[in-house]
Amino acid sequence: MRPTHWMRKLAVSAALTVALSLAATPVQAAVPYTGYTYDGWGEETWSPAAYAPAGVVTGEGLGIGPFSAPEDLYVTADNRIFVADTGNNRIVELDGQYRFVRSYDKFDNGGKEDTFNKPQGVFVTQAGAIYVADTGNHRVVRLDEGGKAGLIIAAPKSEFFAADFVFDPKKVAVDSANRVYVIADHVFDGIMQFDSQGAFESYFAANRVKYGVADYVWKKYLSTEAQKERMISFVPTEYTNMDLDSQGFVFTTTADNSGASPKPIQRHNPTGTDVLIRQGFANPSGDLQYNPAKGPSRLVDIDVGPDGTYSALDNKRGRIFTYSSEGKLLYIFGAIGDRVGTLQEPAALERVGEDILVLDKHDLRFTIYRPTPFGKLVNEAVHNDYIGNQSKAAELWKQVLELDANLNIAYIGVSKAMLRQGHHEAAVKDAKLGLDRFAYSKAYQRYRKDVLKEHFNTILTSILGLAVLWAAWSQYRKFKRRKGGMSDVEGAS
Amino acid sequence: MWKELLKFPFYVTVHPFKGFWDLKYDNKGRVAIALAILFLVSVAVMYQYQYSGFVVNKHHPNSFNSLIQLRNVILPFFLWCVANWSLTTLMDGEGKFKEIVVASAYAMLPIFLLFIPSAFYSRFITVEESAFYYYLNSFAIVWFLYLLFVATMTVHQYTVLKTLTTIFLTIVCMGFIVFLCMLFFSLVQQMYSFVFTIYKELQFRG
Repeated sequence: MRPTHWMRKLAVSAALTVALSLAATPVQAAVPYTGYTYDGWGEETWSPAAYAPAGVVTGEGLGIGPFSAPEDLYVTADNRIFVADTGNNRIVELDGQYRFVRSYDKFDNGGKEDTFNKPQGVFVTQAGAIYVADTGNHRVVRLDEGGKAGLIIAAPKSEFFAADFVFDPKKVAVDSANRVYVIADHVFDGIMQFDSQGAFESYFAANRVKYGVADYVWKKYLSTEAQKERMISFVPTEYTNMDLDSQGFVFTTTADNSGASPKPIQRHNPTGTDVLIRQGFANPSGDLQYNPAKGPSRLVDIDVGPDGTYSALDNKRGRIFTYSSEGKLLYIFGAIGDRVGTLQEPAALERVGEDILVLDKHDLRFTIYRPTPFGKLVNEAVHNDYIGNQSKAAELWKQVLELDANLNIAYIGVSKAMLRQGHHEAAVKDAKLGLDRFAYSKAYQRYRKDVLKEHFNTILTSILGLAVLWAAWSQYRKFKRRKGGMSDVEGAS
Repeated sequence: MWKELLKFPFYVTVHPFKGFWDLKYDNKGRVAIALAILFLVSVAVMYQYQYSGFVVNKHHPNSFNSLIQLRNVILPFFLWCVANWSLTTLMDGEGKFKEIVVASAYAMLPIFLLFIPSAFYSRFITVEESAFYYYLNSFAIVWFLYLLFVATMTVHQYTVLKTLTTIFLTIVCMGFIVFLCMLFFSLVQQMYSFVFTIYKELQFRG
C-alpha cells in the first residue's frame, strides 16, 4: 500500500471514528488504533472502529497491589470477573462494576491449608464452582463455595501416559455435565478430558499432524539414521486456548496459522470433529494481509459472544477479530502500543455484557473495550439476522452502510431482506455489492423471471418478427440465385 | 477474392483436413487474416476476463491489465510458432514458418467464436447454470486443440504419432526458449552493469 493512500485511510478512519464517538457520547477519547476490515477481495479497507477503549483496570486501582504476569480471565453469566493473577499465586474476583470482591490465595484442602503455585487458567461453572489450572503444582483444583477444595485432578495414571509424564495444565473449561477439559503443556494429542470425578477419560479433538509429500518421503525413505535424529519431529500443534458455547461445543485456537489450509479457529462437536462454519470470504484466521517476515496472526484466546459470534485474540499484533456464526468477519480492533487502549502482550479475552475485556500480561492490567455506535449497530444487525428478524436487520444494515459503505456483509444483509420482501432488482444489486454470488444467483433468478414475464409480449413479438424477416430474406436470396446473380462459396462448392 | 479468403477460416474450422490442405497447397491462407484472428482472439480473452457475468467472474475489477492479457495470448502464440518451426525443420517437416503461423492462427478461430458469446451469455445466468458456461469454454479449447493438431499434421505432412511427439517436443522447446531468453536478459543486465561500473570508475578517476 502506498504511504499516501494509507495515510488518507488512517486520517479518514480516525476522523470518522472521532465524529461517531462525539455524536454518541460527549466524553470519549479518540481511538488509538486504525479501524479497518477486509473486503470480499481479501484487501484491507478502512472502516470505523467498532470498539473503543473505555478504561483499564489495574491491581493498584483495585487496592490489592499490582497484578503479576496475569494469564487468564473468566467472566460468568452473571458478570463476576475472575483473574488468574499467575505471578501472585492467586485468583482475584471482581464484580460487574470492576470492583474488588475477594481474592483466593489460600484454600482448605482436606483440612490442611493449601496455596496455588503460578495458576495459569481459571474457569467458573454456572453453579459457582471455580476450577483453577494450578500449573506450578501440576494439578487442577476445584474450589467449592466457602473456598474449600472439592476436587483435585493430579497427573492421570493410565497407559496413555509415560512414567515421566509431567502434568502442566494451562487452561481449563468445564461443560454442563461437569466434564473437565484441560489444555496442558507438552501434550500434543489434544485436549485432556476428565469426567466429573476427575478421572481421565480420553483425549478430545486431537490435532492431526500435517506434512507434505516431500517431507514424508524424505523422512521415511531417504534420510539416514543420523539425519533423522537431528530432524525436528513432526508433532501436532498444541491448542492455545478454548471456550465453550451454549451448546457445549468447544471453540479452540491454535498458534499454527500457516500452510495451505490452516485452521487456527475450530469448533468441536462432542465427538471432537471440527464443525466451524466457514462461509465468509476467508477462513477465520485473523489478519489476511501481513508482513511475511512477521508471519500471520498468533491467536491465543477465543471468546464466544452472543448470537453465535466469537472473538479471537491475536497476541502478535494486539488485535481482536470478531466473526459471525457463519464465519463472516464482522470487525477488527486493537493494536500493540503504549497508550491506554493499546496492548503489549495480550493474554486473555472475555466479555462482560457488550464490553470486551482484554488482559495484558505485560502491562499488568485489563482493558475494557466498549462498542462504538458503529459496533453497536453491527451487533444489533447480527442479532436480528440471527433470530430471523430480517426486516429489522435490513434497517440496521442500511444504517451501518451509512457509516461504512464498504462493508460487504451489510450489503448481503440488505440483499437478503430485499429478496424476502420481493424487491428482486434491489436484491440483485445489493448481492453484487456484497460480493455474494449465491445470494446474487437466488435473487437474479427471480429478477430474470420478473423481467421475462413483464416483457413477454415484446419478446414473443420480436421473435416472430425476426422469423418473418429471415423467411423473407431467404426467399429473396432464392429469387436472386435463380436469376443467376449470386456467386457465393455455397454456389461454387 | 477477399470475400472468399475471409470466409476460408470458417471453412477450416469445420473441415480441418481439407481446409488445412487447401491452405497449404492452394495458398488460401493469408498472414494478414491470421494476424487479425490472433488479435480477435486476444480481444475475446480480454473481453471474457473483464466482462463475463458476476457469478463466473472472480477477478478484481481493478486487476485488468491489457498488456498482461496480450502476453497471455500473443507471446505464447509466437513462442509456439518459433519452437514448432525450429523443431520441424530438423524433423523433416514440410511446413514453412509462414504456413505454421497461418495454420496455427486459423486453428484459434473457435476461441474467438465461442468465448465472446459465452461471456455475453454468462451475464444472464445463475450459479447453477454456470456449468454450461464452463462447458462452452472447454469446448472452445478442445476444438482449438483438435484444429491445432490437424494443422500441425497437415502442414508438416506427419503421421499421427509423429505429430503428437512433435507437439510434446514443441512444448518442451518453448520452455527452453523462455529459459534462454531469461538467461540472455540476465546476462545482458550484468554486462551492462559491469560496463557502467567501469565507466563510473573512470569518471571518478578522471
